[in-house]
Amino acid sequence: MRIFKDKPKGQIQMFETIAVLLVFFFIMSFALGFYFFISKAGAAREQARIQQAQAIESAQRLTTLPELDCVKGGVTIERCVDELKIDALTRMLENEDANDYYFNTFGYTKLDIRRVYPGSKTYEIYERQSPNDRGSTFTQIPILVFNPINESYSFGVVEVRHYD
Amino acid sequence: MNKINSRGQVETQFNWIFILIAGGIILMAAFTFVMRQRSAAEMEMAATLARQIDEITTSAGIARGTAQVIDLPRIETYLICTEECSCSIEIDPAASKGFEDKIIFGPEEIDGDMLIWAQEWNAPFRVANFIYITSPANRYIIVREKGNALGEYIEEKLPSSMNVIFTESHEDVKHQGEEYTRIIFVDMETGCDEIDESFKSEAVDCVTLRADGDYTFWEKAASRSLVFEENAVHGVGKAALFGAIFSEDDTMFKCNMYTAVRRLSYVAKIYSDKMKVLEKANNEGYTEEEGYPICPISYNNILGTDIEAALDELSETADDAFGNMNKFVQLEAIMTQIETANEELIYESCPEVY
Repeated sequence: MRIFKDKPKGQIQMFETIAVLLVFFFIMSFALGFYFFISKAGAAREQARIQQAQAIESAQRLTTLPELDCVKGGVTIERCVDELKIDALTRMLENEDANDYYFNTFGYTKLDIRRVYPGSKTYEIYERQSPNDRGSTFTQIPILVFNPINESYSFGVVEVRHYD
Repeated sequence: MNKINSRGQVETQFNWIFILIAGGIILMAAFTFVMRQRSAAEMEMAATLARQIDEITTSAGIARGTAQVIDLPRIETYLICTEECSCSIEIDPAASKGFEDKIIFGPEEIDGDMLIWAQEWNAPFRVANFIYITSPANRYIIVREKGNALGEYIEEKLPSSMNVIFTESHEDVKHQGEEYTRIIFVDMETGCDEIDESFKSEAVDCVTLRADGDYTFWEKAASRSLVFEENAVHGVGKAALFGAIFSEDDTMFKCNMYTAVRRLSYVAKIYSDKMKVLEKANNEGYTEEEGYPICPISYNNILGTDIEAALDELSETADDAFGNMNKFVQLEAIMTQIETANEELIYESCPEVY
């Protein structure tokens, strides 16, 4: 009888050990899953931050491009674009080779310059959409638009839509 | 009695074996997880650094003239340009960023902190910003004669945070334990093979700069010798002079100059289109009453130069100069023509080219 009592004790102990291990692995899996979830959220936030920074960078680059900047008497005027250069650049970018070349500078973006006052006009300079449709980030930067013919300044806005 | 003892012994032993196996599996799983996370963290850090360096070089390119020292962890950054002009910044083989449209001169390897400086490249109007990168630990020795105009210009312009000394004689120059030395001879006939013996087993190379834009890169032919290979290049513009000072070798210099002239071909085209419109507006005769300026001279003939044609020629020559340094001298001649015409336009209070 004592012999038969010992067998169930040993089996119960074995099951206890296995149960402890199962619970342990379950807790480990839960902890890992939670860790990866937090990491993913952090990575998504970082990606959003990078995309915003890239959009602002594109807008800032546009206002300092030699292809668009205003120069008067040999001096570059900050935050100013030359209206005649805008027309010239827009025409040049209709050429496929030039458009491919400037892809290195502009990337997947839509670049517009809008003259706001006096008068109103929108120049659609460049656009190349991303093959991945993951939304976009929009940035605006105020600038001056200079007309070298009558040497007048207008208020304008650089609009950059950076495709993700 | 004996049967009960042996059962207990088997059970105890089996328990311990089971514990060892399970413990071993758990430890292995934890170890694998930690190693993978470490590798992922290193790759993430390298990618983050590569991106930050890219952002810094972009902003340095926008804020020309500034010099800044960037504190970085002790990690190696590589600037690599192949013969096919594929140039990139590498921190880790997986974290590599191409130069793309940026023009960056620097040594092949930078350990830790970085000094970044930018200058406008004018040809003759602003075309691009040249970015120069080096380590504050790298030593630059500039050998020039007192009163040499080019030497004085370099001395005036180089950032003060650079580890640079100016001397009149290369004979005084000895190795002082720095990791890397570059010796620059300005308008001198001296060659790199005449430097002191203390540099024999050290990382050193030289550049000879001449006022006419001819530069020579001297690279060690063997690691423990003072025998050098010479490679001649030609630079256009003052910013190219500093490019030669900072550039790792003639390949990087040429690749960057080709990128620059390619950009010049497009910028010159834009200026040419602008002049076409200005010329038309001038010919149609806007009057003072309407507030439009009068230009008393014709854009077709500014001191004998048709400015639009000159800009078109500049654009075409720059396009031809891509991959062909022999065309650079031609570029300089057209640039001088445009510069003179532009000065005349400013003098006459006309809408100028730039």
